[in-house]
Amino acid sequence: MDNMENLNNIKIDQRIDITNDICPMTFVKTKLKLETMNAGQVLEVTLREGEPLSNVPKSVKEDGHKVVSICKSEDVFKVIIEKH
Amino acid sequence: MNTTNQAINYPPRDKNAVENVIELIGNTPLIKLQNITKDLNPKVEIYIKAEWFNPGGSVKDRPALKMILEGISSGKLTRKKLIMDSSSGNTAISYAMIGAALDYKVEIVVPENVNIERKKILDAFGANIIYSDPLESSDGAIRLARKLYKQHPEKYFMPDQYNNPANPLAHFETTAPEIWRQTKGKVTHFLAGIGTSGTIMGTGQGLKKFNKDIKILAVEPAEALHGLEGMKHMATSIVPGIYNESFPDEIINVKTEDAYQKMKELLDTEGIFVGHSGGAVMHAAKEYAKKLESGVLVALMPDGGSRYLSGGLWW
Repeated sequence: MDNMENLNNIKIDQRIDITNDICPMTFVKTKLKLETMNAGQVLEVTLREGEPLSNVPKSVKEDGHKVVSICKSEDVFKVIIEKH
Repeated sequence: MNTTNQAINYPPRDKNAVENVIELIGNTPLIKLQNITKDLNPKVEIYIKAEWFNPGGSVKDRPALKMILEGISSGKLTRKKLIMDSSSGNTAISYAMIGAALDYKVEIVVPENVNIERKKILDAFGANIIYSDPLESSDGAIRLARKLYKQHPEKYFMPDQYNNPANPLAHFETTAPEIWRQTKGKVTHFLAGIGTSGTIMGTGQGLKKFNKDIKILAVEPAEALHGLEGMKHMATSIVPGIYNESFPDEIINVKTEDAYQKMKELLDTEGIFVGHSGGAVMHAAKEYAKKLESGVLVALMPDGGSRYLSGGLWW
């Protein structure tokens, strides 16, 4: 995957796990979490592949936030988002 | 010491903790009736889907949640907007609960004669209530909500439960697969009342995806002037946009007094307290089951009887 990055240098401010949620709860939880954060802060979202992986980063970008990286961690994915 | 050991040996029944009350919506119990069915053919079983177990107390939590989540995710519901819709009561309570849980303000149009339980619950959740003409019933609330929205579209997110495809979709995605799993694929008939028609359309279409031979039976009040809150007598009402009257395999008409009688029978013989529309659906299920030699009927009970206490118990 070409958008993988080494995440060791990034400071994570908040984390959420949406691996047990289905669409559209997956994106809504991410969106509502971002609303509580300050611009420039970083959120790590743990999610499943398939629908959440294809939709959540896309919708987050549409809302103007920056998807810093997406990386696989065992069975799940970790999406790093910087709040706009 | 001994008691502690016994407690430890008890089979675990607790679910994992959730982070928001809205995560408890859906996955309601299915109850097999034991006594009310005694005079039926032994190969006929009736189960009820106990929708009052939803955190907002009714089946309406499902579509309300789906419509609000779709609104947030599509960007139509922003922090600057109020959630506003018409309801005969239960959907209003679901909106109010979900709004409070997600920190959105809610404004609800309900007919002024909606009962005191609903008014007080809405008030408790902090919803702003607008009353419509009691003589025009739920159709009056629909018209007033549409008018408010037209006047100030920038102020409101109106889910419009009568026309929003997310309403039946909620049932297609949750209620139908739950029933299929809970009956281990044995369900042969599904019965539900018609209000917005979201339950019958969505669950019905979902169940037919699992097995096209499952019969979908819609229950309607027999009279235009009826006492079955939340149900619509279609011939004399605004027909919801999501309703397709040719979809149900059969439509069963139930009189208000028969519905009330079945509420009482469920209380007495099963210890189950359902609301008015649940009584109507139960009556339809029992009458239909009498004609069957075998079958697994699932009847959906939209809410519990405690929401109707102020009407007085007439038996």
